[in-house]
Amino acid sequence: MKLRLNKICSLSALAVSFLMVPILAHSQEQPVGDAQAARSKISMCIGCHGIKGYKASFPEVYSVPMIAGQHADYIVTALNDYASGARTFPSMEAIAQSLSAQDIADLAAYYSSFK
Amino acid sequence: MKKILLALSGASLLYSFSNLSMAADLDAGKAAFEKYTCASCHGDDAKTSLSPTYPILAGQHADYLKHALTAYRRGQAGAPSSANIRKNAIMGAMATPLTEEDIENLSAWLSSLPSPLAVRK
Repeated sequence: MKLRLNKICSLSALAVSFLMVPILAHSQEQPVGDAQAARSKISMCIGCHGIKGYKASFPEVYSVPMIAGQHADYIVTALNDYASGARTFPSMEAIAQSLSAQDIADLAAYYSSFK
Repeated sequence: MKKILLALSGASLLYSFSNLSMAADLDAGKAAFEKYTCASCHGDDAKTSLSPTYPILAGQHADYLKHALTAYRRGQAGAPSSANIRKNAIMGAMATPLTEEDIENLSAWLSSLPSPLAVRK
């Protein structure tokens, strides 16, 4: 009986943990962004994106894109793509890889708040 | 003196011609935006996109848009992702039929639109 109860307990624990997986995974993917918290994290961004007329110089010369006013979800997508290597640019890959999911959410909240 | 003036006016004429040949056609850019059904994802105003994971294009720097479209086109040709090659199933397919002229006109028209985008706020 004790064994059986144990079995039921562990089975139900297993079931609960399976149920929790998608919820946890989801919450890890999408932390809530805090625009105020981003203020201490934008130093890496403003050196290029915050300077009027600033251009990427290799291998093509073009103005770095404006990110203030952009959609938050697009910023999250772009940073995740840089971090995973799906999108490549030397400086952006290095920066995106150094950011946590929370950092990315905060930066997206900050830059999308300028409408 | 006359010779210098003549040379100068010739040079300025040449300069204006070279600018003319480079000048993008905004109306043609708008037409291309409609022809290639960009609005179906990016919205009629190029800023109200179907999904917020699609970027606002209105008001973006023309040279960046040109770079991005060209990079998508290169990505569709099969090369791996790099700083000037972007891999994206949707945008690769969308950018492939574009001519150089289409890209020039689209980028110029999009960047001329009213927009919330800015370098600094």
